[in-house]
Amino acid sequence: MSSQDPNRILFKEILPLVLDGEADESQRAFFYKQIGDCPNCRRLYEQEHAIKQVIKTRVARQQPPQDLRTAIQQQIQHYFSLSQT
Amino acid sequence: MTDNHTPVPRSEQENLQLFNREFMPHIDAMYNFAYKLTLDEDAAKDLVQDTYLKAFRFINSFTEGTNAKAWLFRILKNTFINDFRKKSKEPPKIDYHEIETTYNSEDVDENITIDLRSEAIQDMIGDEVTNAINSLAVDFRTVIILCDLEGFTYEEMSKILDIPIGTVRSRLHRARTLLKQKLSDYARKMGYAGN
Repeated sequence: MSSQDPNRILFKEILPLVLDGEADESQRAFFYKQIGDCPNCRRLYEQEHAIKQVIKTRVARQQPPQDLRTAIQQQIQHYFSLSQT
Repeated sequence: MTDNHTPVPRSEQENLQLFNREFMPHIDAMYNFAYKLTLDEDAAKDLVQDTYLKAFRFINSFTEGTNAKAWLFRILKNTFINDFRKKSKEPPKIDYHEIETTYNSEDVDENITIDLRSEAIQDMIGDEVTNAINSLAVDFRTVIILCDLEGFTYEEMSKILDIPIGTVRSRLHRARTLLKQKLSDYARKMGYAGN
């Protein structure tokens, strides 16, 4: 099967839509058929799915400094009290 | 997001309650986003504080019931571009024309040639992926953070970044290809090379 196969080209376009929850029903149907028919398409899906999962579950979120919440609230209270005068 | 319909007037006290109820719960995500943009703890703290002050000053343009987190992220991104990016050492803006060309020329098999087995990805620890994301240009790491970490939709990302959905998609594609290349280089160093 040629790499210019229109199904593969379409698969490449639809894959991120499926991974990101943006695909419609017909695109999802095409996607599931294609990963059954095309081993390279399936490998690409597994690769991109694994990366997305690793980002979602293992990339650490930078924790804010403890005084940030207080600093913001004081800043807003100050602005609020000025606007009341 | 700013909507076309006129917001219902609120008292100052109601605005303060709204601020605490709708905006403050997003402080952790806001700080994380600010840090990913600036890669500097002090700058991230200043950026979040400036964003929250702006959010309060312009709270009358926020419509209750709409997406507060996306609204805040948009202000943070604009504050970053207008006030912080000028001072930072980031390289100049990326040539997106080149990106569109790349997007259209790649196919499945070319993508696969980035040799990275899903088993290798699953074995990576968060630090390696975090470092790889942080090493991307800011516009690329931004779309990865918004989509994969924060779970914004393409439409929300389009509004946060002020770019068309088509550009969201092409930027995401390019960002992911670059990230995959970096992870593949790392996997090879760690002995995961497949060939």
